[in-house]
Amino acid sequence: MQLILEKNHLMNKFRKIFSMFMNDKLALISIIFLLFMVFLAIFGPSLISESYTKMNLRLRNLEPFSFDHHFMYFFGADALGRSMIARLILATQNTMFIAGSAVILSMTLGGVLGLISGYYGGRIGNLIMRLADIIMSFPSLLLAVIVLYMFDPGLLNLIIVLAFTRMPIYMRTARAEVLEIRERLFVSAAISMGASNLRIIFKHIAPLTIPTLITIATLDFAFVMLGESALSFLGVGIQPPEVTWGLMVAQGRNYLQIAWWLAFFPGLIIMLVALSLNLLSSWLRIVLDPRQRWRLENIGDKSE
Amino acid sequence: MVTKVSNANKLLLKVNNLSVSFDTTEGSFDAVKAVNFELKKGETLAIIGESGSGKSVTASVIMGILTCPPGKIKSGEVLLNDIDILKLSDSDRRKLMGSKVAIIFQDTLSHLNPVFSVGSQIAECFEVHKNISKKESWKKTVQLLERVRIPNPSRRAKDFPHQFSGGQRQRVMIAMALALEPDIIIADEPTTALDVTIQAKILELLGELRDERNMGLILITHDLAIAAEISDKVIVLNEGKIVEKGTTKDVFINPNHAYTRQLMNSIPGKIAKQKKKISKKFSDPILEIKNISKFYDTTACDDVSFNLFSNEVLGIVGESGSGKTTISNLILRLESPSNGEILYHGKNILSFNKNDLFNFRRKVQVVFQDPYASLNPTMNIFDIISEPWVIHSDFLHKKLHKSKVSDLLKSVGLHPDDAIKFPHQFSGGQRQRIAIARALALNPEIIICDEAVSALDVSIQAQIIKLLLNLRNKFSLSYIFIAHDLPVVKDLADRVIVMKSGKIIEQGVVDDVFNFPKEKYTKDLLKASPSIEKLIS
Repeated sequence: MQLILEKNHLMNKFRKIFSMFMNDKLALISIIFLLFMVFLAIFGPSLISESYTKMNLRLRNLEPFSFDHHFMYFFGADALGRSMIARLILATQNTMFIAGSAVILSMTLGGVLGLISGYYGGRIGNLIMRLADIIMSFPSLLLAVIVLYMFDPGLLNLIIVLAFTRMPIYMRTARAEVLEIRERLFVSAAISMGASNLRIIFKHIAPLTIPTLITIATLDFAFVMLGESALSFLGVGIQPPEVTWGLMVAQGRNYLQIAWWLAFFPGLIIMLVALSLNLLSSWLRIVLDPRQRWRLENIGDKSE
Repeated sequence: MVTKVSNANKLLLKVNNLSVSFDTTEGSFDAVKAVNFELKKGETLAIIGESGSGKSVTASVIMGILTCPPGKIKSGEVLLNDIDILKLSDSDRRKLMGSKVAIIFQDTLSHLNPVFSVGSQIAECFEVHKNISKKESWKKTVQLLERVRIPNPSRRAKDFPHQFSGGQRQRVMIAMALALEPDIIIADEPTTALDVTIQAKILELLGELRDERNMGLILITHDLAIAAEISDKVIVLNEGKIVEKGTTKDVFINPNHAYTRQLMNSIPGKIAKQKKKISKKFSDPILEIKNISKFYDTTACDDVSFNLFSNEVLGIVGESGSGKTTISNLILRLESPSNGEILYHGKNILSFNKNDLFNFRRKVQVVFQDPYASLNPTMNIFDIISEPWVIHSDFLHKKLHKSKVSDLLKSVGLHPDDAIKFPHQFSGGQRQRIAIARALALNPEIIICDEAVSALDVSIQAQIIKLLLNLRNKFSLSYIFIAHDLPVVKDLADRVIVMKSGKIIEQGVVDDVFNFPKEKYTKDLLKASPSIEKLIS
């Protein structure tokens, strides 16, 4: 009985979320596109097997949109005659994994540090903020190059370095928001109720900062992708034959005059992903704010 | 203070059949419905109404500052010296309005530009509209500041808004409104944020200026007592409609409409007569405040001592800066005192360890002034009310949360179905009920009400006070009721403490202090507090 009730509850929640997507068509398109990209990232590489390394020198810089060859060559081929489709799919997995992990990592770490710094203030707060200052005072690319040069330029190190250099923005934003929210009356009410510090930080303060942090994170996603491509271009990021969208753009730049599609398709995907993330984040911001949620709910009620 | 001006009964403003609506997602909503009134020279018209009654919308139409859309003027005319300002083009209207009608707002800090000195802001009015030299306009500015009784005007004109107190800022706003010698001044809740003694002085100044310059004054207020003090005529608005209009005396002595009578009955200071006297057994006090002091840069509270007995309502009154809220924060242990001790059942709460403090917090709860800020906007009502049990997890089993939340919502006069809603879906009064329900959740002994009703409309205020009294009897609570509004304290409290600049000036049983005040300060406070009785008697 309990189980059925809970199941119903979940179903209702799903239906509600779905109807909120239906009321914002742009967000709906974005989420579909992003889910498709995630699907590609997870299952794509196993579908294309080894074709991303298969060279076919006769098809070097093959132009896109021709039906003369295998459908894998529909988007053309790169300078070594490798299928663009296969390369893009492989890049999807790498990029989504690197940029996604880096952004989530830096948002979580930076957010939590910012919350702590803002809430406790004093010596701990200052220490954390000076840490942010130190990170920001280094040219982030230089720092990343040095770190990756000294350590092994693997996937994990790349993610950590990218996350680390992007952390201060979350720390500062979270702290600034906390400083204001901390003084609000409902926080005093919670303290006088006997709530622990952790409860106040995560139950009362964090939910109000999350919409802002998520908005920054979606903007940052594109930035991290580009940062990653710069590192890869310098040879301390991802190693061939692995590839990312950013690296594809960087490598395709040399061929821009004779083969525009080498840089165009990955660039297009970067733009579409960044755009979708932005649209989705503005939808999410409304959903997460109970005062604004009606904007997405009410339209549905009217049509019913 | 009511002055009848018989000379020059020239009609300044006539509002005919004005209707305003707002477009919302739920369709169009009528904010003002067919309102008629007129204003003559030297006359004060009070527009009385609770929040949402359409009084501020009416004023913004007259000022020509209604934002359209979503606002829409559906019908009517606003005749200013026989010119219908609604038919004028925007630029013509602006030219006419700026010099004829001026407005004074409630929130002075947000209506003065913080980065310019007040003098330059007033001088700007002269320079823009009258085309006179800088030197000349500065001279006039200083004269104006002197007229509104800012001490040392030539020096203070160079100061910035934050360097003035609330009452002085309101004087500056009045000076600014006077700059262009308007025919009409609209004062939108001009004294709501001010202390009673300062309020009395500002109202006096407004009345004086009206007589001196023979202006028309429109006073928008929710406070009937203020209207009774200063106005000649009143209109009472309810849900956009005029329910009553007439001379102030007639309306207050002989209210015709049921709504006006209801408003009159909700005026604080009347419930006292219905209050059930509880026989006091002077047992041991549950809370003893002993010689506590708190120093910031200044002294917030200085050598304060008092006791709170079981099932008692203790009122603390004082003007802003008197240290009332500091005391509440000290008892709640949101802050620690610099000196002194606070004993709860004989034990000093300042030497409590973590466990003792946790148990103490269960017994002492708080209801804050601003119901819009004291509830977390991201949590629904169920989460808000049940949070105390989540924190004190041994208090109530999780399975019982739902039914107990329903019980609590019912006991504060809300519906159990409200549990799934969010705070923004409620009005101010309803939110305060939610805050009270949350305070009741842990069966506390003491509830501290820090200005708990001062942000509410009078009729809602009366309801909340009745609710608090009922709950006290039902759950045998003690209240510490902090307020700046004396009549409210008279309604609720058994004993009262009067504070000034961090010190206790006078304390005693409520009837004694109100009827036979000993100290001069208490007398001044009582005298400054506006009342209808002065008009009626």
